[in-house]
Amino acid sequence: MKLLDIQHLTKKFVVESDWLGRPKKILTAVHDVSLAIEAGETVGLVGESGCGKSTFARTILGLYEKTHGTVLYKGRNIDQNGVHADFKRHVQMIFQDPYASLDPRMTVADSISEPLRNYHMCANNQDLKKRVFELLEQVDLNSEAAQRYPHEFSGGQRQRIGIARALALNPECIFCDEPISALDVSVQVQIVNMLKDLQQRFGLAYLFIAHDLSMVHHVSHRIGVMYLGKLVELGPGSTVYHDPLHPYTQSLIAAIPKPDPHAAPAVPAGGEVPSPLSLPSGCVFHPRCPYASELCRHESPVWREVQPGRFAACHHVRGGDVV
Amino acid sequence: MDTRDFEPVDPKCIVPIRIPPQTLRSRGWRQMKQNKLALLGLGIVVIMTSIAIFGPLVTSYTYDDQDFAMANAYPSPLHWFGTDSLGRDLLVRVLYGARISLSIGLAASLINLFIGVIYGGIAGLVGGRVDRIMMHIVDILYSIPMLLYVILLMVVFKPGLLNIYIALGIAYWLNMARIVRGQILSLKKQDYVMAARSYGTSTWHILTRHMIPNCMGPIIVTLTLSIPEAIFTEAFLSFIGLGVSAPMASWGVLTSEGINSMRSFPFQLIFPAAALCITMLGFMFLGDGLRDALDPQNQREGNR
Repeated sequence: MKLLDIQHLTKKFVVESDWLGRPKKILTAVHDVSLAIEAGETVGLVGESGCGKSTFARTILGLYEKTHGTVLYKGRNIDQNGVHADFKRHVQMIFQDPYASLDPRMTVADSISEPLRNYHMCANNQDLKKRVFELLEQVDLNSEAAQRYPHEFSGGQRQRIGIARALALNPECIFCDEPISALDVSVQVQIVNMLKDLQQRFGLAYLFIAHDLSMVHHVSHRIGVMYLGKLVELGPGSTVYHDPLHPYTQSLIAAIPKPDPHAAPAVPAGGEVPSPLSLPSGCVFHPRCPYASELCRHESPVWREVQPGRFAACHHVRGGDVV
Repeated sequence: MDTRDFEPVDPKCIVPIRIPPQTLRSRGWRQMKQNKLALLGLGIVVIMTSIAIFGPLVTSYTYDDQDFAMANAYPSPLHWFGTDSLGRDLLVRVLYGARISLSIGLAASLINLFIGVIYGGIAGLVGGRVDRIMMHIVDILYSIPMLLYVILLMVVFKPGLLNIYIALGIAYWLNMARIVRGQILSLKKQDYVMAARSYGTSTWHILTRHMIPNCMGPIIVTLTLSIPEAIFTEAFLSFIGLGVSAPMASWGVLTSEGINSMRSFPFQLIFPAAALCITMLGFMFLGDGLRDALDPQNQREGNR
């Protein structure tokens, strides 16, 4: 059974309202996205900044209230009583900015033990202390770190504290919201390897959000590509990376810098990302798409399975080709 | 290059460096210690407070002992600050004035802390329409000159110590409410508050464990800076005759009396006015120092 099955999730924000509080401008950050995560699997989610990746993750977790859609946790709707608490306990999150995601006035021990205390996971203080040390050890931190404050640590160390906190409740799935983009390259590798080790040890599933496609390809079993709040392509990691179908994915892959001075410079997708407040008609990618036709300008493409296990939303993808 | 240049250190030789954990408070204090003006302010506040508490206990006069033979006496070993037109010892009256002025400053600030934190906290936490309406009310009250508002309240309440506490308390909470609301609004969007929600922390615990400790700095600073404001307003009210009534002496009453005989007996004006000025400066220096020391921006730069 699927661990998480997200169906038609939509999140709209009211950007501006009139003086009576009625919405005037609405921003659709996530538009009708469906995605399933199997136990023990890593699903990568990529896209330009502002395309709704983080909002998607936060909306699933209930940090933002969803506008439409359902989330099934082990086949049960999380809106039902009882299921929600179970879901919240087993799905945790790691945040992008390790400088902002830890309370500066709490010691590391307090931060890590907070989820444990919320769910009364430890019978007494002795147990709590033991568990905190155990968690610190799992992320390769000295037990001496427990009594320190976040400002005494480096970015990589703080991110590990965040990981320890996410592991505290023995989750089944962790949403990693750009966990490495605020870190140095050398530290990025450490953190990614640690996440992979933890996955093997505890059978974790990850929703790994990033804008660095090469890193996502390195960790993910499957990759989803988002553009302006919509999922445009989803498929097995290496196929999406080496043989992208959707024109947007193609331009993303082409834009990855190559360590070869003689390689021809990448041709980026033309034009600017349209404002999410006034989305283009039809396919949202058509103003920048080299394959755009009259059909694309008028009709929004349907999300469909173009090959077994590969999904895309594009009029021009037929079978394994773009025509 | 020889590989021996890079011989690894014998692990036994590595001595772990032990640095005691630094709390934000200890770091704030360290920063404060470097700020001479803030220390001066702290010193003035401590001295003035102890004088206000213990001073009147050790003098041989009381604030309403009249000695007409000694009326308008210049400062002398007998009366250090001289006496006023009714022969009352001015030093003792200034000391009692410190009691009244400081207690008014403190009480008014505590009342405005109480109202301001609750009002601003609710507006910030609930947000949306409630926030908008609550803040519009604050804006409207803000547009009324505070002094006018206090004077009107005093006319309604009748002059008296308790009523001054109340009038100042309910007039000056607007700033506190705005600051607390702003803090809560920005804290609500902080990642660590989001994180706390994601692992199931209740709203109450988010407020008490995360939000209040993190907006303590601005609250303390606003509180410290609102004390001199309250003292000054009280002095002003007493000066125009709406404050505490005779024979009690606040600094405002004393200056007001001193000003009548400014030409002939300037010391009757200078001593209470100096006490008032020094105390206000003390609180302001302290408040500014606290602002620098507790500013999270400063602390972040210090460690990156």
